[in-house]
Amino acid sequence: MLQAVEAVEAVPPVRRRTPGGWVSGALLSVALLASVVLAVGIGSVHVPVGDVVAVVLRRFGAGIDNVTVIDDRIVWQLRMPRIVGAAATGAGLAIAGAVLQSLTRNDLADPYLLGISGGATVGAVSVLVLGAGVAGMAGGPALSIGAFVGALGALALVLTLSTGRTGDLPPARTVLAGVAIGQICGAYTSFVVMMSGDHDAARRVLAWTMGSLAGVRWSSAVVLLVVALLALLVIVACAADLDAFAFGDSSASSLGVSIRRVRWLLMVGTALLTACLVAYTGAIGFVGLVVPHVIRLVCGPLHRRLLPLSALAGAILMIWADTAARSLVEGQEIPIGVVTAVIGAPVFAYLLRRESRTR
Amino acid sequence: MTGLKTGQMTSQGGVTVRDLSWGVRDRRILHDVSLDCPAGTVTGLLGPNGSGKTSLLHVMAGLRRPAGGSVRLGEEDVHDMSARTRARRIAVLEQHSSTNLPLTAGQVIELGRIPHRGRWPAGRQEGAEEIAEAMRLAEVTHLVDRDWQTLSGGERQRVQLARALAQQPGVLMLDEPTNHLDLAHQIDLLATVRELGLTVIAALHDLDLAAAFCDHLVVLRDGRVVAAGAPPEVLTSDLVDDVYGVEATVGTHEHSGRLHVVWHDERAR
Repeated sequence: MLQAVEAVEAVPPVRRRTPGGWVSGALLSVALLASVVLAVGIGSVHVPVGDVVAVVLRRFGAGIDNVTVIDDRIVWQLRMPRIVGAAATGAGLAIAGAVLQSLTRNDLADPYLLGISGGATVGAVSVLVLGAGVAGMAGGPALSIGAFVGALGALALVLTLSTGRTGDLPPARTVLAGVAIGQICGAYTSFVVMMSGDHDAARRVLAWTMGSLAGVRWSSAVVLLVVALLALLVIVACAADLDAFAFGDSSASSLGVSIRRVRWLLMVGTALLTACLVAYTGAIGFVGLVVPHVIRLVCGPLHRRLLPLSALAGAILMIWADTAARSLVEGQEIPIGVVTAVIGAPVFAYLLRRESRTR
Repeated sequence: MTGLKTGQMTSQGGVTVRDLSWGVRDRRILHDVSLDCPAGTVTGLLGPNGSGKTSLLHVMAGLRRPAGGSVRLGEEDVHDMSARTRARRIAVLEQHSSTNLPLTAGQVIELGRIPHRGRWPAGRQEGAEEIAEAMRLAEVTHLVDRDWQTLSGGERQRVQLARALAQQPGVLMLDEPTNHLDLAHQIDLLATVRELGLTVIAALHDLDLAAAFCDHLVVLRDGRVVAAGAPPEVLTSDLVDDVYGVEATVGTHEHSGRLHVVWHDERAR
């Protein structure tokens, strides 16, 4: 026995290089603030950082009067709501992805796991194509409402299919139910778009499925921000419960977690969060899948760190993705889903490669 | 069939199981199981594969709700406790534990503090002493910074034992804890657990180890208790033949004085 212990101690302990949670949090917070200020200045009209700060300070009641009406309009009315909306959406998608990956113990889980994107697309398509004939129906609010209702409908179907007799939501069955409902929604969407014979509608549907923050004004940005912050608060309160799932259901249960209640609360909660985000921005991919993995690789898998850091990183990634989407091509919007994939995939590939070399 | 000692006094902290039944869908797996695990003693659950040892442990630990009967810890029904209260009093060491997360051994052990912690972080040092003590008892202090994925089977089992002890339970339930361990580690683990003075209930396969480290043995077959009592009363050649279908001689070792089981089978060399 003694020999065995000595043999083990001869191996130098492998220290995991994880930066401290507070340090990473502080760095990311500063980066988020800097991203907001810098991204607001970027666009067809460049606004210097000093002017951006002046506009924002004046809006918050500081006695500054050297702000031009044009600057105020560009910074505060046009760009700021979009950036706030982007940050909230990125943060929300990242934490939803982190939670669903942990609860289902599935690395491929993303915020759209429970059929949310498929359902939202059905709702959006119904408004875009079928409602186009009705005067005023194709506008922003109707689209959001349609998408939200569609997402809730799909969620209800998935829950009906997968909830067991005892009220449990077994991850495997839930994932499969999500896939099934997603397929049905996809079939409906293709059918309606092909049958409508309206090329413009088809284009708009395609654009919607790849996501865009172009329609976000202050009213929607505030809703997105409140929803994301509320979700973050609830989910961070469950951080220890999520940690307890590391070794599976039985282990979580023996650590005092009411697994049925926690899984239901968090799965339905993240689905509602995602439905709200999708309603305003469309189904933006990649952020919810990749950001939690990146943070796990850098800062470890414990949720009291993972969740806030994922939220910050998701917000930053989304701000820059949206900035690229609106400013890279003059006079045209690139779908933001394309940008998130182009930025996110190489970062993810690099980290995976680094991980596979060290382990 | 050795009769079960009923009407035994259960001191505070002992586990009492009465007429417990449990099943999955229509299949009944445990039938009217009754047993007593007095406080501070080690009870071994024996029985062939599929006899219901793991199911019984899970129901006794409160992880599954019984179809009938009760499990009491002291005076309280385990299934009426909140999950959190239960986790502070009963810790479980699973037969096999795996994760795909990049956790360190120290982080795994810290999971044992979850039932004692509040929703919001209350400072880093919560439970630091308890964790240090648990690591010392399980002899894993030197592993604290190691990556869980790089640990051997025996190290993992000891780290999980430390996690269970960090819960500061009164009752420790072990499901075939010696499964992946070599002989030295098997003896070491059971000796450690025995010295803790907790109420221990362990499903075991090795009859010699069970006889050496348990105060009581309970033998299950097809979800029913077929024998219970002190090791010499329970472990007889008739019982081994009856329950496992293996011919055996049960004797006392001449040097150690311990009970040991020697089996016979014409297919063996």
